Amino acid sequence: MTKIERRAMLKTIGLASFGALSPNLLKGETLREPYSVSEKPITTDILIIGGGTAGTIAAIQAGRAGAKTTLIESGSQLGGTTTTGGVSFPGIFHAWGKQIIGGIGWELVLDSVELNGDKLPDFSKTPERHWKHQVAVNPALYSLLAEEKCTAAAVDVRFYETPTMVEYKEGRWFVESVGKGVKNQISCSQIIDCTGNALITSMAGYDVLREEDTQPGSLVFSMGGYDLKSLDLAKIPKKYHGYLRQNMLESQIRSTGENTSVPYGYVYVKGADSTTAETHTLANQKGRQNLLDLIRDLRGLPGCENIRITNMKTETAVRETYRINGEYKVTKEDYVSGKIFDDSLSYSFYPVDLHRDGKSIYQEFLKPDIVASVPLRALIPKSSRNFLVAGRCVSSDRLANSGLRVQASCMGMGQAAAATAVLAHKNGTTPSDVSVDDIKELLRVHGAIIPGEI
Amino acid sequence: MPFRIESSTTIHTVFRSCLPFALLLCINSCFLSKKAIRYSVEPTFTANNDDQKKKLTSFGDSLFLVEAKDGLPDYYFQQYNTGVCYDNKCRPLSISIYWSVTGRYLGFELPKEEFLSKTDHEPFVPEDYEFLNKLLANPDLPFADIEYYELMDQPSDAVESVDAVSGATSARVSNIVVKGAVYTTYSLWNIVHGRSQEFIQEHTGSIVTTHLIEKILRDSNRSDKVWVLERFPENIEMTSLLLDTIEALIVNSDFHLAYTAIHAIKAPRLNSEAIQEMLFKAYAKSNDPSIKSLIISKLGQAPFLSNGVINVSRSCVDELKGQELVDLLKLLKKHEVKDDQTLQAVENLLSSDNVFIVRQAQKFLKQIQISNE
Repeated sequence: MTKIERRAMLKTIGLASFGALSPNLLKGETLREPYSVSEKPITTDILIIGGGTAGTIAAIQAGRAGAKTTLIESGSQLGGTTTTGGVSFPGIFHAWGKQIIGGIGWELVLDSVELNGDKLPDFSKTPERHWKHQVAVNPALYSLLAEEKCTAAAVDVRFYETPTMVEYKEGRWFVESVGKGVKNQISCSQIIDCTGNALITSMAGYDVLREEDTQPGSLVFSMGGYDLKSLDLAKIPKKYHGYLRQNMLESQIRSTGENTSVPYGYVYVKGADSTTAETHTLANQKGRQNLLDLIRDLRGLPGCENIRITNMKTETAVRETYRINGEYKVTKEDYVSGKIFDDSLSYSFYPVDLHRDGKSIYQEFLKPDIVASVPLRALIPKSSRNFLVAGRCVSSDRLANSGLRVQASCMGMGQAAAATAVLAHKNGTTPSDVSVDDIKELLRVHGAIIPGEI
Repeated sequence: MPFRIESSTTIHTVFRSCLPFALLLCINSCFLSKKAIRYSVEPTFTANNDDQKKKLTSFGDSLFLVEAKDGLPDYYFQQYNTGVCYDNKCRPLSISIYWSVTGRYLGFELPKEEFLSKTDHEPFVPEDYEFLNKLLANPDLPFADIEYYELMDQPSDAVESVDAVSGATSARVSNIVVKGAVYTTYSLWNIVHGRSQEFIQEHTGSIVTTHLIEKILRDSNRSDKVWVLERFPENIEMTSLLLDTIEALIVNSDFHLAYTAIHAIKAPRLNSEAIQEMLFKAYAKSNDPSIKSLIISKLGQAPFLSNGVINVSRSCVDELKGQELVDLLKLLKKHEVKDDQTLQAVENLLSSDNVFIVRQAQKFLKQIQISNE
């Protein structure tokens, strides 16, 4: 008897004895096969990894442009920072009285606002605080609409999966992706890394960069059980005032027309990094512990004895981890001067906004009429083939990145990267060889705003 | 019921608490001005020079509505005459505030030989008046949410005192008050954006006519247009002139005006073919994908789709991509549009080289087939 035959026989005996030992099956019950990991090959045109702020938009764009599209997301819903991270007031889509980021990201935001019965602010008025033009959305609706649009675009969304191997062979990428009970061998023409952490870029062997000290993450929450107006703040240490005030600002989920306040109750999480399961677990644990500590402290303050947590996001939102070393690195000077490159495909508008050591924020506001832009080359890792990134890992120096990392900018990058990838696929080439004019034309068709054209 | 400023808790509180520190109208012969001091936000606004000749409607408490020559409401004004106490001395205050028919601040006027002064008794200089006028015209200032004792950085029990005019201006408001006249700015802003404004808006809302709406939407200030669109009456007659005006606003490059104009059309209105067709004309002309999407979404609320809209939309089908195609097919499906010409137009999409478009066409045709069965 060969080894395999013997094993099969033992298995049969085992099953038989299990059947003999198991109680009689009730009506409707069946004995199932033991758990096993199914393996299958998947062939696609565009593979997008990361279904967050940039990846969701990229997937919809690629699908609508007619490409067979696969989207891998390690979590359970789309939207990333906007939904799972709780920063559900994406921005900034408008600058100096004009819309500067449109396309699919804006479409999703507008649809969320409409379906929630909310009202947009008047963007023609430049607000005294930049974040007042961030648009609060109902995160649940945003996630649902994102998924619906992906489905309509025939995007194969694969939740709970993460790549374990990436290899480029003979003009195609081969990616092994593992999730609960699945192990897929994905073959694709183009990859867009939307992990935010440049994870796939690094796995593919291209250079990634990281600061020695990264900006902290934020665990978003809200509290109840106190009345800010009746608190005697003179008796409460100043370090708690921000928590108490921010939490009382309205509109994480809006019930009225006014929508522009930042409802940003959060605790900082130093060194938060969502790149691996271990670092991500640590970021979440630290955030939760920091929140617990805060709540205990607050409950000891006069007027805050009944404070309680009313909502907490399940994950710590991350600001900064890795950046790619791209064909071009956007500098702070490019950013604050509003430089428009020949291959600029989307705008970005936010102050240089560096959260330092979890204690202070370095902010440098853009001067009137200045709007930064993102060139295609900053989305292409140096020396790469058939590979793009979109999102906060865009090739940029640290200060430029602190402005580029925000949601609307990432959405714009996602759409631009996908349009490029689709054309590269159709032409059988690599992104850097695609005609920039063709990319811009495709983006226009899908409602995007091209730098220099407003 | 006549307007009664005394009945307003907010205004009463403002007058009782703030004006004693604030509206320092000094009648000091050394500083008398020869001409009435008058500031307005619109250079063309001529205020009350000939108010005596115009038709005035009084609401009590010196609040008046002035009619234009065409008989339409033109603007409102209110004369405030009250005692102002400062340093335990009371003096009369007289000031007129002007509002547009939508309650938008237009300007103020002081009687001849009166002027505003600061806490140190220095009279306002022209720059102060100009800045005050600019501040009063800004409805977004946070004064409605600020208690008057929060204006100064000092203990709250101290500011209740009549003489409590010293102390540093709070950093929260220091950039949005006339220097040295924090209470004056605060008090006047709360008068301008207080109960009278609310009354004016309610009153205009109750007397609004098609002609007034047309006039506001054609000629007025942008915020007046937004105001009227946000309160668009449901039963007003929609003349062709009004429809043309609304269409022009939707096609306009000003997103907020277009957005508000679309939302001004409520679902019950959509049983009018003329309104549907106006919306679709705007759809065809607009260059903004968001506006197009909102129009299609609005038409989705109609009880039926007019033949005019169906005919034009059918001809658009082969030009649309992405979400615009999804939206239009969804609209046609919702209204069960399945005439031969429409089906042919959609079938033509099956030959597209974009599989997304092919898929949308297949989905539409399949849904129609199912509904036929």
